[in-house]
Amino acid sequence: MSKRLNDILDILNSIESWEDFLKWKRELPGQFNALRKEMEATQFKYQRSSKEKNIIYSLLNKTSQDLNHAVKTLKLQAEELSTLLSAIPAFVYFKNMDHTYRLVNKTFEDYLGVKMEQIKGKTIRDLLPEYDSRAYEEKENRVLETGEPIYNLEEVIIKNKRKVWLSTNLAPVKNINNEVIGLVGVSYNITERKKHEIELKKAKELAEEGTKAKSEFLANVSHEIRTPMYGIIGMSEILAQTQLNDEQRQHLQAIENSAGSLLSLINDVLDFSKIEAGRLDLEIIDFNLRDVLKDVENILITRSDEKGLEFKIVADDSIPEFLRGDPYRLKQIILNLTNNAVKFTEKGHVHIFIHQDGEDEDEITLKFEVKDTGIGISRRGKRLLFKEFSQIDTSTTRKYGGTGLGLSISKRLTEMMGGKIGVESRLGKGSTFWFTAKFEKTKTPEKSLWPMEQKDKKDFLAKIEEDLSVLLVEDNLINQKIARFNLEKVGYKVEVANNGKEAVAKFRNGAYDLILMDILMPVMNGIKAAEKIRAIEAERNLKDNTRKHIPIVALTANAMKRDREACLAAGMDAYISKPFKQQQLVELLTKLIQE
Amino acid sequence: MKVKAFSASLIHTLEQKLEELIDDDFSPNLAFVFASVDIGLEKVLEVLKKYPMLVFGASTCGEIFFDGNRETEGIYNNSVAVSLVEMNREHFDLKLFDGKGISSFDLGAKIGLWGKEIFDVPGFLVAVGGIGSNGQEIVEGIQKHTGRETPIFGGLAGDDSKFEQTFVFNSKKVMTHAAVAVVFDTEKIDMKGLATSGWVGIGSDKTVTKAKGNIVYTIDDEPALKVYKDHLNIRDKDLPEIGVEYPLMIKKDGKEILRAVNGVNREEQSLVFAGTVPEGSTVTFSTSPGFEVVDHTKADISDFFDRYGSGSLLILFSCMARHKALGPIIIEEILTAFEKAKAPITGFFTLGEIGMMADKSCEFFNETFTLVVISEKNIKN
Repeated sequence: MSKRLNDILDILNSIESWEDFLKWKRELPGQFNALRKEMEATQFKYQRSSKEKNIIYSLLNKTSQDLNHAVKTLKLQAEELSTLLSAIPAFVYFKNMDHTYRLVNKTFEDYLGVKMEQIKGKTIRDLLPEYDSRAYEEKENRVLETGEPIYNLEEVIIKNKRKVWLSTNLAPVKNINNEVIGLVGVSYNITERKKHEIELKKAKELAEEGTKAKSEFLANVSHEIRTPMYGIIGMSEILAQTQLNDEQRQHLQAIENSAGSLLSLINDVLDFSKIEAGRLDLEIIDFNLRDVLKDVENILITRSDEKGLEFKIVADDSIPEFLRGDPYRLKQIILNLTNNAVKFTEKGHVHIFIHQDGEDEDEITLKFEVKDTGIGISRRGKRLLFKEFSQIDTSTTRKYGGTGLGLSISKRLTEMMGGKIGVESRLGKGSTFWFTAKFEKTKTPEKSLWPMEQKDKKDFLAKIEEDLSVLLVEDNLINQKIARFNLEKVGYKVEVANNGKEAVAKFRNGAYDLILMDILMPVMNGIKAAEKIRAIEAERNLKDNTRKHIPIVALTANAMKRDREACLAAGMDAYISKPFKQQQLVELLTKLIQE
Repeated sequence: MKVKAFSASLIHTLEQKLEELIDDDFSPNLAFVFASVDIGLEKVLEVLKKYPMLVFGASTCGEIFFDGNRETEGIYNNSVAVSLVEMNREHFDLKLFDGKGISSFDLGAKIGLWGKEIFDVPGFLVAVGGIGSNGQEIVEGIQKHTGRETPIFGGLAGDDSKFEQTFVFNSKKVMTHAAVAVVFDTEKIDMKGLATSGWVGIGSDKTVTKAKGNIVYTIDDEPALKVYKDHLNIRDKDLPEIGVEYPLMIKKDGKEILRAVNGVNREEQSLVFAGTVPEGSTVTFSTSPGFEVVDHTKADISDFFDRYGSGSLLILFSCMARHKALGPIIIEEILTAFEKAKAPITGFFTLGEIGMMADKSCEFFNETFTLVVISEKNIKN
């Protein structure tokens, strides 16, 4: 505007004559009009500014109030946060991107005995020079790089030569643009806990070792006890077949009963200690379920008949004949449950039902139910039922006997077979014990090869009922006596070798139809002896161009899979559990030859 | 496309100008008429009815006309500003829509549907009458049928800042709670535009705690009317007039949208805004940064014409709050536009503008200088 005024003044000053005035006359109104507009604009600006000033002042005043309020609120929050942080019995710290401390809580200060001001800007290396913090700083880097938190990071720091265990949570701190600008860490001192853990672990290991040692001892002792037990039972049976008067017969019956109870008790203890020691392995072999059920029936039918109970086994037709699993342990579970049922049922029946309870591509699940009309079980009783060494009450023990291990062993066995066990029962209303077990499917059961010539087989079958010449290899005199008695009773000719070495010598010089071979023997064991015998046989066959094969049957108690494999590898053909009856042997041999 | 524009302060002058301009060589079929409610809209209509033209009419908060003549003032009150257009009748159509009893969105949807039925690729000029209209919903309603890319320009009619009632009209009827729309065939007609504001946020962030559509009930849990009065230190009667100059700036996803107060409900202590203010949104007050904002607008205008060139018909929708804040200085924006375009400009001071963003999508604004430049496309037919 002042420029415009100066222009006008210049024009006015330049006017010296009428001619000059006329010359500028046209120009001046335009200049004055422009000046008017500029004055109006200036005036507007002035008015507007003074009017707007009040509003802007008010807005700024409000803003300043808002800011003051916000600052106060923040301060209060900061104080509250600080109180909260110092109350936390853990080290809380904020760190910058370069790992330097930005803020720590009072617990942190107190632990290091240093004030915040001296911690700020320092790194953990500055504060704890003894501690090799590289691994920990790498974790911090990961949080800073990925923006992801890390929880329960355990680290051991060293301060004044003492180890301190910390459990740390690290989380990124982000700015408003979601960029990581540092991290917050919370470390709990878990040194005491760690010490307890270590002590606890040691104590647990000691306890486990002790338990294992005890179980092993029990297993060994039980095994040792079993051998003479077989002697007692075997000799009792032999005795029973001699001339006895009634009183003697009654006494003998008592011996047999006691021995039987003792044996089953020892078997339970042996199983249980094997389970405890983790040494019980399941067999995985092809077997015929119907055979297993037949055995169960044979064993129990006599006892249930004696008590006047109806006994039957009902298996669904849909269940395949052959399965893969452990038939011996399966039989053990069924027998255990069914024995109990017979034991606790005074009248009525004991029924076993078997049906399919699931199937997939490779496996089949069977459910076995043993229903009785016996005394039943109370609710409290059911809770105790499957626990070790528990019988429902001591009066039961007195009346019915038993170790209280049977059901807990069955429970462990079903679990090993991928199944469950349970009971439904009401006091006085009978019980249904059930269990499930998984079996692999199989179509072609394993067959034992009996590489004997057809003519030899025929001869063998002809003699099998009463005329076999048997070489019995057994070191235990009582077992020798029992076996010899059982075999000779049906007409077999029996020759005894006291160990493997004697057996090899007798085989070399004699002619036998069958060898029964104990496994554990002094001088030379059964495996070694079988190998030697087969070697001699092969040499002879080569020389004579024959294919002779003498059946060798291993005599063993509860043979495990690896034992059996060792027997077969050594050239034996089958095995039979001690003590065996002659009839069992005949069945075994017939089956083997005919297959 | 032939365009002639003028301004008249009296009905008599309007009659004279029309007689003078319309002859055998120039027979316009479309007229853009922006008139003050004080000059008498019915009287204006009486004059226009004599000519066989479609009329796009709106009441104003001040009229704009500039054709480079030294005598031309550029900004007028109590007048009528007119652009007469002669163009191929097959390239456009016009309709007045009644919006009574329906939402602004539904009104917009009616316009969109109508335009889409006439042209495959329509473009719109829209003026909306009625205090309390939601300009944002009008745009969204049109886009419902035509899509985000459709060119839409226009403004909310004014009533010389009385905030009582605003109007739109065609050659037959004046209506409130209504919209008048021209639809162009954008395959034949080019529509381009610019929207620039320069308003800046001031003060602390606040939260809209209760709102529905374009009505805001509470801000930071206090009645919206009270918040405005307290913060601006103004009296009850100063609203909405002064409030228009200090719109809320809505901050969302890094974008800032201005929403000006166009109405007050004193019973409810609520404020009616020209566009939607979502509940829960973060807002601040905003203001013009000072008279320098004109320099900012002028630079944007120059840049726009340098980049896109000129056209035959220029219509300006400028926010009435800019006029209030910048007073006589606002003429500089209009002069700059004329100098760059070399074509006459008509338009009006609005209560809200619809224009094109840099990404070519159209939106509803407040506090902007919004220009639309229309010309025939240079294609052989």
